[in-house]
This record gives sequence, C-alpha cells and structure tokens, in this order.
Amino acid sequence: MIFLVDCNNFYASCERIFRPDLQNIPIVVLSNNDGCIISRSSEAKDIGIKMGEPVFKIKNLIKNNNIHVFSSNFELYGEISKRIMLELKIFSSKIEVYSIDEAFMQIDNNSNLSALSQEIIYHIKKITGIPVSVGVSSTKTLSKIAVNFAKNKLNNTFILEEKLDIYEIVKSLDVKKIWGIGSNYSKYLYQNKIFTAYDFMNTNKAWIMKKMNINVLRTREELKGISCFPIVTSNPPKKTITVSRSFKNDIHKYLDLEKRISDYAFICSRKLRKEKLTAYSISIFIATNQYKYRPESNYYGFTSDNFLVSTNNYIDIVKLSNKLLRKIFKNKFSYKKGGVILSNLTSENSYQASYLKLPSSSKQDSLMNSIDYINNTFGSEKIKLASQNLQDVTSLSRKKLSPKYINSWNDIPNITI
Amino acid sequence: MSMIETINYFDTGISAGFPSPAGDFISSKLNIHDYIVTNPSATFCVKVSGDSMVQAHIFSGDILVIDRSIKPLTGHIILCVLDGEYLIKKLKIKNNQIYLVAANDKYKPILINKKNPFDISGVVIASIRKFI
Repeated sequence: MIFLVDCNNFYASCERIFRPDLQNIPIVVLSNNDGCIISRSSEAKDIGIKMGEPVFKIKNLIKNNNIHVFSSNFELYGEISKRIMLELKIFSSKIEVYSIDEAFMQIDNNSNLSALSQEIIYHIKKITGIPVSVGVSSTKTLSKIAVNFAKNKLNNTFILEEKLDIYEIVKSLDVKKIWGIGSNYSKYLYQNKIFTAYDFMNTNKAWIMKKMNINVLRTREELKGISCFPIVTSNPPKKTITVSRSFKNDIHKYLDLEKRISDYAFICSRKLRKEKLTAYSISIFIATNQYKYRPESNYYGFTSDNFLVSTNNYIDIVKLSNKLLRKIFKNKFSYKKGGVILSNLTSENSYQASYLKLPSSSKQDSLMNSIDYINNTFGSEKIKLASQNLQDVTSLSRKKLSPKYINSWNDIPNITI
Repeated sequence: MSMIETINYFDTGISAGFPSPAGDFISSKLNIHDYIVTNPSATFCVKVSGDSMVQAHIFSGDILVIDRSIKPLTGHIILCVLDGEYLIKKLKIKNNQIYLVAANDKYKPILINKKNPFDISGVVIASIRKFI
C-alpha cells in the first residue's frame, strides 16, 4: 500500500515548535519579501484567512484577531523537514520525498493500516513536534485523495481501500482536485462535460491519448487502483541550477549590476558544490521592469557560454558570468531583475570531469574547499570574491523572521529556569 | 553540530616524499557530537539562565542538550511546558502524580494537576559549559 504522509500547515507548525506560548494562537507565514500568506495555522484558517492573500489586504484582520505573523524561515523549515524524512525511513525504506512537507512510502504486508498510520503520526509528532496526516491507498493518486480526507478527521488518518468508499468519493470529487490534472486539463475536461473523477475514470482511453497525454491516462488508471506511478526513492539529479532575484531598487550602473550577477554566480556555485556537481554551461540574463516602462524602454538580455571543462570552481564561474554580463549589458536602461543559470551538470566524480581537469586544478581545489570550509563553519558569507557585494544578496525582506532555533548557536532558545 | 569531520580537508596536504605511516589510521578521531547526541533528528539545544537547578550542576549560561525521543522517567531532568511556558525541572512520578522538582531548596516542587496544560518536550541528556 502507498502511505502519503503530509505535514499539517507545515511552516506554521514549524514556527510553533519552540514557541509553547503560541500553541492555540493563530499563526500565518508570509512568502519571500513578506508579500502573501503561504501557510496558516488551523486557527488562522478558522478566522477566514485565505491562502495566497496579500498581507496588506488583511492588516486589520490580523490586528483585531491577534494573529502572529512570521516571515518565511526556510533554514528552519528545511532542517525540520530533513529530520521528518529521516524518521520516516524507520517505517519504510521505499520512500519518496515529494516536497518539503510530503512523502510517499510503500509499506506492504501490514494488516493493520490504521494502527500503523497512528504510529507514524505519533512518532513524528514526538520526535519533531510536527503534526502530520496520513492517507493510505493502493496508488499514489488515490493516497493523495485519501490524505485530503485525513486532514479533516480527528485522528488525521484516512484509509481508502474499499471499492465502495472509492466509488462514493470519486462520484463527487471535482476533476480539478485530482493530483496531476492541472488547471489547463481540467478546463478542457470541463468543456467536454467531464466534471467529476468518476466521469474522468470512464473517459475513453484513446480519446485521452489523442487529446492529452500518457500521464493523464496513467492518472486514470491510478484512480482505478492500478499503480502506474512507482515510488521514486532517489531524487533524479538536477538538470539546472538557477539563482535569480528582483532587485529592490532599479539598477542603472554596470558595476552595481556586476556585483549582483557575481553574487548570484557565487550562490549558484555553492549550490553546485553542495550537490557535488560540476557545470559545463552557464547562462545569464538581465531584464527591465516590463510593467513599469514603455516598450522602447524595455530590454531583456540573455546569453550563454561553455566552460573549457566542466567546473564548480567559484572563480571560474564568477569570472565567466561577468564576461557574459559585459556582452549583454546596455546603458540607459533601468534593470529590475537578473539571474545566473548553470546547466549541463555532471557529477564531480564522473570520468569526463576528472579526466579533463586542468593542470592547476589541485591547488585550486584545495582553495575552493577552504572557501567552503570557512563559509560553512563561520557563516555563509565570510569569504567572497572581490566583485561581489553581499550586502544585498539576501535582499529578501524578512522583517518578521523567527530565530533559527536549530540552525545556529546564536539562535537557540533561551529559557529562564 | 558536526563540524569535526569536515576538518579532513586540511590534513592530507600534498607533499612529496615518504607517505605518513599514520595515513591509514586517519579516520579515527574523537567526535564530541557523536559522544553527546545519539538521536540527531530528535535533538536540539537551549540556553538557560536562572538558579533553580544549581544542585544538579546546571548554571546560568549553560547549554542543555535535549532529546525528544527518550521516554521521561522519575529522576530525569526534563524540558517541559506548563501553562505555555518552558521549564527545566527534575521529574518525579509518585502514586500516579507528577511532580516537577527544582534542584534548589529555595523552590518548592510543583504538583501537576489536570487543569493546567502540561507537556514534556524532552529529556535533558547533557549540559555544556565552556570554561574559556
């Protein structure tokens, strides 16, 4: 059977772990730059706060209901997520981490599905402090449906097994709510008078293949209990690494832009090195604010190049990014956005990468490792390259950021005893 | 908290000549993290101030290591939440009653009753104090 474990209001729940004073108090978490609501505690949902709502629109609601507002603390959420996924491996080695707060697990030969689900919920809550829901069924698609029902159950568990139960549910389930049916396909299905999951299950196979694609057909089979999407235990290697940001204020000068692009190239390299990958190609882009200016004042520059050999050397990557920037930079524009994309990624240890190393590389390698070591130990921005300007790298505005309780010695909880 | 492994970057520098006879044994090192933490995903740290636990050798400024996975028993020092506030106390279970006992005669034991919301967050497994 497939168990889908889904954290309840994950970000809001994370904010609560080290704040016992907020146990039953409404909490919301904001998106990057404190723009919109991206997570709500159940109390905040009850007050009527909607997902994705811009925070400025509900200022009064927040004030009048004493709602606690947090910026997104991704360092904290990421670490809690890692711990949850690690603990889930106790229950099954066939586990697919589907997102920061969801995992599919395959568990066979267990007769008491409900008791096992309860055990998972209890264990994760005890070890990490995060409440989770468990949906169980024979396929991933059905377990997705099950977990949505689990969220509204007192014991946060829903086993979708009996043919009759499945029939009852698909009869009234909006086709749009099915996992894998995007908004485009659901619009198309509506147009063709296919409104419920039941209608969809009885749609002609050839028609689906002709008008949509094989994955839509697989989804149909999964609803019937035929497993088509297996558990993918290891993440497929990343195909590209991108770092791009909107600038708080428009940038006019080349040097200011170079600082940003250098930063993004540096962060890209750090991500690359963390995954033990090397990149062969790099692209950069810069763009003006197309909503603000007239067409003649708008510009979008994009260019790519290849390294001599695949690399994850900070200096190589920043250097080439600056060279590319010089190629596409044009005066007299106000730049609003820029980014760096690394592609053609291969593993650091792959034959091709190591075979083609340049003669100077062993010295360079130890320099790069030292940069990593120092930045990992003393904070991520202690060592940088001269062209960088790290003041604005974390230009995200996070005014209501909670401490990194389990990521940083400076942020561990203080307790008066 | 596991920085010690990463130091390896530095200690096998490239040098010509006779290889170190210790080269094969380089992996065995004392790792403080491994000594203290047995359940990494259940462990976190807090910093304390106050004098209620001095007889248990917990002083202001100490860092306590908390393990959420250990079953709390009488005699354990625990981190708990009473009425929405964190407390560090010694746990005592007697005649089906839970007492929170300070390690300082100045403070009286607290008897837990069902009215006040109470929860045990974890067991204190170590205290860290640096002298310099």
